[in-house]
Amino acid sequence: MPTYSILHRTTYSYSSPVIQSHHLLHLTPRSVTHQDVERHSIVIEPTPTSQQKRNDYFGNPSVHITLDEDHREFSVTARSGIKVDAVAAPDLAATTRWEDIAERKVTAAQGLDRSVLDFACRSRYTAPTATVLEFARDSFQQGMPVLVAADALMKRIYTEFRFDNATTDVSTPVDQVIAQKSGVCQDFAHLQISALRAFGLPARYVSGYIRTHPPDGSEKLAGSDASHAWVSVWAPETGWVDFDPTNNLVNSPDHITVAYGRDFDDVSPISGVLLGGGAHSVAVAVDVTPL
Amino acid sequence: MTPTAAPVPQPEMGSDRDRHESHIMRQSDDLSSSDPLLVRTAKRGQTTTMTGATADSAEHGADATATGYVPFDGIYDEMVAADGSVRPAFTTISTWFSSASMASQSVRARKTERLLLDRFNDPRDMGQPWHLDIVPIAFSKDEWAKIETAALQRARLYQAFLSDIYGEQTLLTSGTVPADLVLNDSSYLRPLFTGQPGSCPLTFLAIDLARDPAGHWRVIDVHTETPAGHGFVLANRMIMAEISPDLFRFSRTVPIGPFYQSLSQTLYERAKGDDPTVAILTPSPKSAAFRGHAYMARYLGYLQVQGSDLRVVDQNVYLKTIDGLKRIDVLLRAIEGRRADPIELAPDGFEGPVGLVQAARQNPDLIANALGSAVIENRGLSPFMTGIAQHLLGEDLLIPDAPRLWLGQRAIRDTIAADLDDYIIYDAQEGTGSPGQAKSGTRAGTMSGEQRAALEQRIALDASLLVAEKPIGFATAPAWSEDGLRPKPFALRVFATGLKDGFQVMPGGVALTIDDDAAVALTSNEARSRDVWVVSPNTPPSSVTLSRMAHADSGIQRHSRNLQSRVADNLFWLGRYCERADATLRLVRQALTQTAPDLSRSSGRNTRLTRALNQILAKDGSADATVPSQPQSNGLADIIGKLCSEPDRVYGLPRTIDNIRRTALQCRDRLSTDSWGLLTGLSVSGLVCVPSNVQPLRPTTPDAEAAPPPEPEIANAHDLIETCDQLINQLSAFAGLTHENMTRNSGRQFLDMGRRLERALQLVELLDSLFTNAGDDDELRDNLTFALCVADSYLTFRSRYHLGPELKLVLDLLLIDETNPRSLVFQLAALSEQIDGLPRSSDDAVRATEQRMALDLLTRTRLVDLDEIIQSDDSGTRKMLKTMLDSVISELPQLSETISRHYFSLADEQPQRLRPHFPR
Repeated sequence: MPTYSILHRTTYSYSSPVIQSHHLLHLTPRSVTHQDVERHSIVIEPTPTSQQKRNDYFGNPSVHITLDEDHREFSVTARSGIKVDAVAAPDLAATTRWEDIAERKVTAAQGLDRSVLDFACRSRYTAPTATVLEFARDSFQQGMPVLVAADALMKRIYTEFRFDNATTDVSTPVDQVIAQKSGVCQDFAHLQISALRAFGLPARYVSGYIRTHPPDGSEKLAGSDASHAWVSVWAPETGWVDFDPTNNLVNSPDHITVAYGRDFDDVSPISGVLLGGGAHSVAVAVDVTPL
Repeated sequence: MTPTAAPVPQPEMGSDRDRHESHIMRQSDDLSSSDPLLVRTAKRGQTTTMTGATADSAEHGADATATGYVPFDGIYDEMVAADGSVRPAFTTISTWFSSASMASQSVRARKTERLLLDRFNDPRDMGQPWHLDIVPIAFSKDEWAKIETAALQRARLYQAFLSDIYGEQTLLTSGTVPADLVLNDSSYLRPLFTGQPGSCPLTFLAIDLARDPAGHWRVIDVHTETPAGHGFVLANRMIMAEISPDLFRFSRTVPIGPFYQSLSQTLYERAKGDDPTVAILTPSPKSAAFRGHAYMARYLGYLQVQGSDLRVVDQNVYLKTIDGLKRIDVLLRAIEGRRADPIELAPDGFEGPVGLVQAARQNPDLIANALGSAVIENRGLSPFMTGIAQHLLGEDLLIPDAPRLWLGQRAIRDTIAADLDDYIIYDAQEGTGSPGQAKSGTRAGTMSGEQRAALEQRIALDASLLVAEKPIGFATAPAWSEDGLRPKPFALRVFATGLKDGFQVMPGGVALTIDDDAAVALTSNEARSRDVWVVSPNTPPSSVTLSRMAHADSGIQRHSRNLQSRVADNLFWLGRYCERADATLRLVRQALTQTAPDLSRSSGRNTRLTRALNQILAKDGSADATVPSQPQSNGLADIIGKLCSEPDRVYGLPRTIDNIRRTALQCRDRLSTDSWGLLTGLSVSGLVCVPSNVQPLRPTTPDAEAAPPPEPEIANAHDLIETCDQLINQLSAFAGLTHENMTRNSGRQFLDMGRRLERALQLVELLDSLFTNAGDDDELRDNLTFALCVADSYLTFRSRYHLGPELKLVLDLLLIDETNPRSLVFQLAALSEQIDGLPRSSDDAVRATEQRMALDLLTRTRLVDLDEIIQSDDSGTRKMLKTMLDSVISELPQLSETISRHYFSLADEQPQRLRPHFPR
């Protein structure tokens, strides 16, 4: 039953003053069944002109802020204390065959309602393509239990793709990720989601943190952690089960959930629109410290 | 059959009415009442009317064959019933068209197109062509009552649907509507979901109806996203009233003005407060739908704004004006909902202000229609509509949807895969409400193998976004053609608005002729629009036009004082570009006149003229102009050619005139129709400089070797001069129009400030290039004449002095004579006065920066000592003059910049998205 102390600091620097900016923050971890948020705070500099907390459509805590003062730097520091319970490993083989979910033979009464189907539909980063369909076909054999298929897909991405943070950016399409067989966690998550949805299955994008283990004998560097993203897949027997295609993990206690949505757009930790600002750069430091 | 009580109207071509009409048209040579053809046709028209169409015959139903109109066998027609009789609603129209000669109707048809072109179409912007058929489609009161009742039912249904989808979602939980259908629709805006009843109120909607060949109505589309189509209705109605006033009057057409009055009243009542501001939020003027929305805004007297005009502060929406931020109380939304707020909706959608969703949450009455209303437009809902009506209203549909299948379900896909060729495949969510803008469907039956494979793949990937339907055919209505009236399939758009206590339906609307082989929706953008009339014997005969009704409600037009910063910015630059074009044209014209051998005695001595022209080229960063010390290396023909026709030169004529059009487009709602016509009529096509290959014969003089090489002749100098004349005239006409006809408000002030500033700048630059170096006397004389001509002050000078130009006198006239409207001091005095009159916060006890700058420039100019500044030093430089002119040249742009910063600064910044940091 690990408890984590998490620090997430983001600093934007602008080449010319920002006259006004609006931001939407998804930095407050939501409470989920296996996770308790014990403490949480956000410090924003400069002090926002207005600030509003609100749970978004998917139930994620979000903060709207407006800065009306001219500024050249903008920083947000989120601190959280979170207790994560270990979850028993789900019985993947005991889940419904994937076709029954894809063809909506599972009913709303069995849990396949709007709140689940929301994650079966298309979104900007996960629109189905012929390439994705082709790539994923092997993992969806006839009559296979849905989470077995999801697991097979995760393992293929983990083994066939190389982690490389120089080959993609936030807008890299999944087709390109498939072509170059490399990317970062976000790309792998989008790819797996896109493949599951191309076959009509509900899958959601989870944004959060992962506990990292420094190489044996070395000290962990401050700020060296990163925000992380993975996938959650639904089955009537289990509800949502986490799959991390970057690390080949299912429902691991090393994962701390912040928010979930259809893709990165829904839960981007800090999004914003600026008036002014010129060119800008960003520095991010994350520490996930087990207590 | 209801007898038509009104006397049957007669076409009166060639009468007083006709003179009035031809007066309205600007280019009416071929339509004047003296045209013998017209007089003849008018007489013939009258005689046939007298005999062929008496009130008696109308009462018993005219014989359809008399009109030469034959509907298709077995297909329902609006004018002629199955038994061959003319339907009562069409009696007057039928008589009218059968009694007028084809030639006169043909003239009317052409005139209609020309009126449309003059008023509503941009020749340069064919995004949404606008054609109007001169034959209206008329419905009797009884027939219309059926349509109206059905439309009201639809309005209630759609309102209930939206309220449920953004509220409790019982339609989804009960399975009445497949969740995937709604959830995959990009116009389902999740941030607007409330979970509560009463969500997403509808204020306006339009329903597209078509009859099948048997005459049964079907709903083919619904429009709840933008008030698209109202512009068409308003324009068509005004044109019809103008083209055929008598037909309009005697048909007893129910007026539509009251419909708009209630709409307006509802919107004002929605806003809290005594003096609410209602604005219509439109996309940029480049978008195809803009013209229609602009037309509606103008008719209703609403402020027309774009996303960049607005700013959300503390969840309230404000308009950026030259006088600071002004609160907006109600926004009539003519932009796509999903592109209305980049922070919560589509990240690349900047058509609304950032934070609009927050503002809408805080004040649900702010935006009409509410954001998210487009989800009802999804065609995939058609097969479920009967169930939806039962679930939400417990009613049967009065008019059903067109038979249609949603491909998001496996079973349906399997069904249509078997006979794909029989179907037309459409996007379920089209995302446009503009008549004529809908995409036509895809017919698998007419496809190549490759296209078919692409379609099959599309179905495999995007099935939830597609619908299929079998073509069912349409009923017809008479349409105009050169060979007489012909039956054409059509679709009808019916409009409704939500009032405080329910919906109201407009008595009339717009119809669109559908091409025989085109598909179901209002697809073809070549199609003709039709005015739709509801005729009722109870309507008093009246040719009342819409504009008169608008005036009756003029209490609404209260907000012309709110000048958007964006509009002020564009008016200021419109003024500058117009003056810039004018100055450049005068320069080119004068250079041509003064150097053409047969027009002037002074050919060959144009060093400084070349320099003056070269200076314009030199301002352009990309120019290859030579340094002023060697102006001869660029021949006159070369320079003029560059100024006239190189499109990329910042200071060249094509670019400047393009800038005039661009800025005018941005402030179009502040310009009169005439002004707009003048500006869009500016054409650079005649500005082509043709250098002649033939070197002119010149007398050989002893020092010929030392003289600069002769200029290449310009072969078409006369034509070019004429083109310049014409453009200068057009610009002068625009200047005159703004002077005489534009309201004395801040808008005009900015236009005038731009003009003054640019005219002053052009003048001092000219003087700087001509007189700061003393040349020989002959050259000086030429240059003085040149300057006087370019500055349009030659006649003044001649009438005043009766002698040849002299530097001191010329500089007096052009620099410091306060009575000469082309002088520098005149521009500066006007500029200073305009700046003093601009709105500023009352606590500015001291003069604002721009006030001080203008006053300083003005004062220094007034105090210039002419005797002193015309002195030249040993090197032949008039140093004092140069210092004086150079300071003006550098300070005027600074003044322009200061004005911009003060009044437009909020407008010129484009918002940008923060680059997201993404997880690794």
